[in-house]
Amino acid sequence: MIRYNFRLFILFTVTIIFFVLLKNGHIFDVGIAFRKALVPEGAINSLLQPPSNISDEYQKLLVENVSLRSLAEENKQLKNLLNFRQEHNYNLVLANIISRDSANPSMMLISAGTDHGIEVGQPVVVNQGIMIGRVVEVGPDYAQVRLLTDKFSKLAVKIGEADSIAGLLSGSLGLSMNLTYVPQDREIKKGDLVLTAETGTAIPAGLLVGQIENIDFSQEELFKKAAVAPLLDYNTLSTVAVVSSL
Amino acid sequence: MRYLVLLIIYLLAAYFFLLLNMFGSHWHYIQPILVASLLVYFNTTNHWVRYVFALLSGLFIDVLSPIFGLQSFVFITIIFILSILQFTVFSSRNMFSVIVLTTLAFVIFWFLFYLLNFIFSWSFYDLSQLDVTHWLWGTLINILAVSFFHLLHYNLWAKKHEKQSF
Repeated sequence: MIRYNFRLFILFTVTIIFFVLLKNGHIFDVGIAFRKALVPEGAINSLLQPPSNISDEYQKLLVENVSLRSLAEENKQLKNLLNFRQEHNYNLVLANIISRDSANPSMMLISAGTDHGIEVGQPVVVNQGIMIGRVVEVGPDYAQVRLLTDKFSKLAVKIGEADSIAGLLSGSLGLSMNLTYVPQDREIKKGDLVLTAETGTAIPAGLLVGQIENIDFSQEELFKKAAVAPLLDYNTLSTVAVVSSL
Repeated sequence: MRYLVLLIIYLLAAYFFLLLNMFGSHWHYIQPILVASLLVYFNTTNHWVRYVFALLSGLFIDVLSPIFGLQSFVFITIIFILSILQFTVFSSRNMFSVIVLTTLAFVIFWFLFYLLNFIFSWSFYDLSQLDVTHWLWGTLINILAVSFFHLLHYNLWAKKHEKQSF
C-alpha cells in the first residue's frame, strides 16, 4: 500500500511539473529533451549542424556537375554528328580538340591524323553539319585545323540552297568572317544562311557556315560585301568531326 | 453523497476562514484550502480522490500565486506524508489521529515553505514577518477547524455508515 501511495505521489508530482512547464511555455523544451533521449545525438547534430566537410563535398559535387555537363554537351554533339552522318552518308572521323594555338586561337590541333584517313583540305564540322574549319596540316595521329575565322582562311560559299557560287568567305581577325565578291545583282539580306559551295574539292556543298550579319553595299563597287557571323561559339567546342571522304 | 458532503465541508471551511480573516498578509487564502484538503483526506479512503483534490486545490491557489506549482507540490507532499504516517504509525482513524496529523500537516506546510523559499531564494514571499506566535495561533485555529468539521462529518455521516471510532 505504501508503494501504491508512493506511485500516486510520483504521478501527481509529474503532473504538477507538466502543468508548470505548460504554464511557463517550456513544454516544447521537454519535447526536445524527450526527442534527444530517443534519437541519437549524431542524428540531431546532422540536422541542426552542418557537417564539417560540407565545403569539400560541395567542391566534389561541383566538379562532378561540371563533368556531367561536359559529358552531356559532348553527347549532344556526337548525336548531332551521328544524325549528320546518317543523313548525308559521309564518312566522318571523330576527334577531340587537343589544343589551341595561344598566339592564334583560330588554329587548333585535333586528335586524329593520317592513320584515321584524314588529309589536308578536308572540312571539319560539328553538330549537324556546321563547318568550322579545314585541315591544313596532318600528322599520323594529329591534324592542324584552321578555323574559318582565321585571316588566312578562304572558302567559296553560296547563300541559300538554290545558289551556286555566291562569294568568297574569308576570316577576319579570328572573330568573324567577311563575305566578298558577291555580285551586285545577287539579293542578300541580313539573316540569310551561308553554305559551302559546290567546288569539286574535298568540301561537300551545302554545309552550314554562318549567317549574314551585316551587308556593306555601295553603287560604285562591283561587288557587295557582308559580314558573316559563325553559327556557334568556336571556343566552346570539344569534339569535332572531319569529313574524310564523300 | 459522500463527495457532496465533502464539497459542503470545503465551502464551509473556506467561508469560515475568509469570514474571520484572522491571519495577516495573504496566507489566510491558503489556509482554508489546506484545511479542506485535510478534511477530504480524513473522510475518504480513496487515494485518488485525496490526491486529485489536493492537486486541484493546489492549482487553484497556484493560479493566484507567483510561484506556479508550489502549493500543488506542497499539498501533494502533505497528503503523501500523512498517508505514509497512517500506514505506519497512526493506523487507527480517531480524533487523536486527526489532531496529530493535522498538526503535522501544518508543520510540514510551513516547513516546506521555509525550506523551498530558502533553497530557491524567491523574492516573492517574506516569511520573516510570520512570527512563531502568529504561526502557532494560526495552526491552533486550523486544527480546531479541521476537528470541528471532522466531527460534523463523523456525526452526520461516518457514524451511520462507517465503523469508525471517536
